Amino acid sequence: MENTLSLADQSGTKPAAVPPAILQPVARTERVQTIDIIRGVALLGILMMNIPYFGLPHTHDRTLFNLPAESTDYKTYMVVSILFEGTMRALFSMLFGAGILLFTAKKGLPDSQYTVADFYFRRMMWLIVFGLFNAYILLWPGDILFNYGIAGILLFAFRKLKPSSLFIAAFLCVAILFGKEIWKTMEQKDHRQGYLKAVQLEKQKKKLTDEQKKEKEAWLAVEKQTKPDKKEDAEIIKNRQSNYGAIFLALQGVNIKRESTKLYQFLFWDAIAMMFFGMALFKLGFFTNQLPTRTYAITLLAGYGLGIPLAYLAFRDQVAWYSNPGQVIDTQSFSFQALYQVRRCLEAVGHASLLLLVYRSGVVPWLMKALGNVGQMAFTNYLMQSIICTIFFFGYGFGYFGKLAYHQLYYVVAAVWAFQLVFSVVWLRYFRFGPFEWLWRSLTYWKPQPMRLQATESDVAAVAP
Amino acid sequence: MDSTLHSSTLAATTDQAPQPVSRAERTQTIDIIRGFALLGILMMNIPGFGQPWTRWALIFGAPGSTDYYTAMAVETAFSGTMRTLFSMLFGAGMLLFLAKKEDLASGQSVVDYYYRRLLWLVLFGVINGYVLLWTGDILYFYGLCGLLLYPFRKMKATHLVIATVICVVLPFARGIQSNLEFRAKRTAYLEAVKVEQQQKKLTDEQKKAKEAWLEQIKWTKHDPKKEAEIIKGMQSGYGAVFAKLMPRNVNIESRGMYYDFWDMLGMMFLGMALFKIGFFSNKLSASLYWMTLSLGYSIGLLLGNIQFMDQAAMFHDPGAYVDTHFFSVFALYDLRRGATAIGHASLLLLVYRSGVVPWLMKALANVGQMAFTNYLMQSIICTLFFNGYGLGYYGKLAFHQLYYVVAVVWVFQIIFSVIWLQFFRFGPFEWLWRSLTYWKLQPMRLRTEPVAAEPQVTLS
Repeated sequence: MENTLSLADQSGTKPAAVPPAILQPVARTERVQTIDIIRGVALLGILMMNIPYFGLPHTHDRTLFNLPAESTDYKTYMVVSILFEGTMRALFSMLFGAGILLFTAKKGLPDSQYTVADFYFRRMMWLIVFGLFNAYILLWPGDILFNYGIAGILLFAFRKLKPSSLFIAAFLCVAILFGKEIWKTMEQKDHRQGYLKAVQLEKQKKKLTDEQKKEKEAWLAVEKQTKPDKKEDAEIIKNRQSNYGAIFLALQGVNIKRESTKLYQFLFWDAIAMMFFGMALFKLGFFTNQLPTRTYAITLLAGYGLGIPLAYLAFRDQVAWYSNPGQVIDTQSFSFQALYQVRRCLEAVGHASLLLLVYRSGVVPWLMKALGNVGQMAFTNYLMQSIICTIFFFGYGFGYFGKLAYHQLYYVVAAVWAFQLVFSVVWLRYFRFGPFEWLWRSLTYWKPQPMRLQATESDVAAVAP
Repeated sequence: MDSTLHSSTLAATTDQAPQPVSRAERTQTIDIIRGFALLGILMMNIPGFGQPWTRWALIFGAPGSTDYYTAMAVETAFSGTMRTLFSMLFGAGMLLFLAKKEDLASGQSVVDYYYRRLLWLVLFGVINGYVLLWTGDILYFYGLCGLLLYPFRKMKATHLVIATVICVVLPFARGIQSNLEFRAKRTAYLEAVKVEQQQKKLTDEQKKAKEAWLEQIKWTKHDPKKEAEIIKGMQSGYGAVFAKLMPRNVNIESRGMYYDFWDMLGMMFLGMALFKIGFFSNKLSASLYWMTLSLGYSIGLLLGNIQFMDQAAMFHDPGAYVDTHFFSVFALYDLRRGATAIGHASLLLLVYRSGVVPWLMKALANVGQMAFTNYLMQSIICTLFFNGYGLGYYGKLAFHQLYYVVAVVWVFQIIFSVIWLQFFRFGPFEWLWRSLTYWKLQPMRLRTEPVAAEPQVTLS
């Protein structure tokens, strides 16, 4: 990497942003390593969130919420939902924001005809192309690369903002999502009112107007979304157990919707909120291990202390919602699910703080090293998860879709983790970058990049995105 | 403007240009074309402002009527072409903007201002859509497409033309695909009808197939109930119109963007290519412009006329149309509008060169210099004229009467632009946009330098 990570280099950053109490000056490689470690954890962790969508119908959460509380599936679901849901994506987004700053801070590019901005935007456009590939060709509709590429293009103009301004930007995005959530709840309440009125009229043997019928149906549609639907599940399973062409066609609509409407309404804001936040934290030196241990201990406690209880309350509210939405909407005025973004952000900060403290304590250097390697090859590992899981679960591969119980999916996760840890460590002994990183770089600079690991230490450092 | 147009990145500058054109003049040709496109775009938008879409079935269904001939003229010669010119000039404008030297004093590079400018444009587009309630807004799309153009600015003209072709071929392929699907529905429908004629009972699938086709062609029949509903909606208060248009705005800015950004991006690339060879800045020889004029118009107008007749046939009897037209001319939409747009631009450049109507050229240039203001003003004027919270003319005028409104708005905008620019450097919304981009109030009054007449003045 050409740039130094020192904060002074982030032009536009006021000196005030530099943390006053840096315990020890950290070497360049070390700083990058902490980012790689967190990215590695996020990369592995994201599979925990994605595996149900790889291996089970997306409607399966309705079944899970309605399970008896003592079943293994329910317990697994509760743990994953409370501790991890949304947090790995949050960390990923935060580090993507940090990566924007790292990349655009580069100086002295080999080809002076082009600016950093040229390579930055090319890089993002290729990321969009990879995202399309991941969604439409590898058939993973949960892809985030497309979304990140677009977000990256928009965030360029914000790279020089002060941390405080970036926090405000993140806050605005969260506020927009919060407002939308409240709006949605109010709409559902309206549907519910209309439904109750219609039912009452029906009891009095009165005929409903067209509008009243519509209102009634609107609520029934909401309610239907909470009930397990064996028939729908079976249809989805049948499709995923078939050949590539049939699955491609079935997922095409999902992909289009996610990359257009869902992106516009939710995914984009969800991503840039955390990216802004990550940019701010990076500028403060949070991810680069520049804050005092005490600060990390505080962020750990605050993040987990607030985040986990909020996650618990949100989970409880969701269980209630899925078991009896009518009652919930009649009696409850507020769902903790509305604080989703706040909750996952807090927990993500908790996770990152924990990792940084473990790293500092030096207790498991081999694990940190391995996680750093996984993070260094995050792009490859992310796409590899799509390749492995679609081949493992879909009909044109091993066809395990719909065949494993929810908790059993986590055996698959563990196996993939072990494989990716070993693969990353071994690969980086011989090569500078992961294979897809190499491809991405080569496309960005429109020139095959050196791949084999031979040269100097400083070149090796060029790996971080 | 800091840039000279002779920038070394402009490949293949022709030297047969009859006379060297001064900088101000060059900019003026771009402004003239932009002004023309700005006024012209209202011709395409006015039906969207003033009448429900259900009217098209009536207009196309009445051959010989004034409405029919009006539609024929507008569709054949102008449909899509003004948007095309706008997109082309947007691409050219991007090159002009980025040719500015880096502003070293402030430590910000031109790329920063470029991206800020576009992000503000996106926001203006959102306001035009959601607040001014114009669901045909293009600013949002231009802002987002513009974000993608930066890394292409140094491409050679030939490569940009290739990029254009790619952007045109993809929607072309999709057009073919949807045409095939359309045909498949027709075939399934005919089979179902045949079964029915044999007094046999239809299977569920056959019933579905029959309904699917009927649903597909519903828009070709005039639906008075639907029309009354739309008119009632648009004739209500601001809140009701806002709520009614909200899902449409969401759909257009999300799904519409995902599907149709090729429409704009392709023509932006072409505009960049044309700008690089000096087409818009009046640098080519008159004979070349004569050639592009005749070629553009002969391809474009011919296809335009066929397309109109096909549309009419489609409205008349969609089934018969599908059965008799294996290849639909609609697939050549982009070729047609590109060709006609180049014809329009060539015509304007030749008129400009001939010097016959200097006052009109000057007026068009003024309109073009304030294109952003004039574009938003069209939304303001038309929504207030047509929607219920304003004068409430929505759905009350016949199709051809809408063009009286267009004429009045044109006259107003020409006069307004000429007068405004006698006193001010930029149009009011241009001023706002610049001030937001540079995050500093910009000088507004016209006092000092004559430089101010140019649209792309660099700011210190």
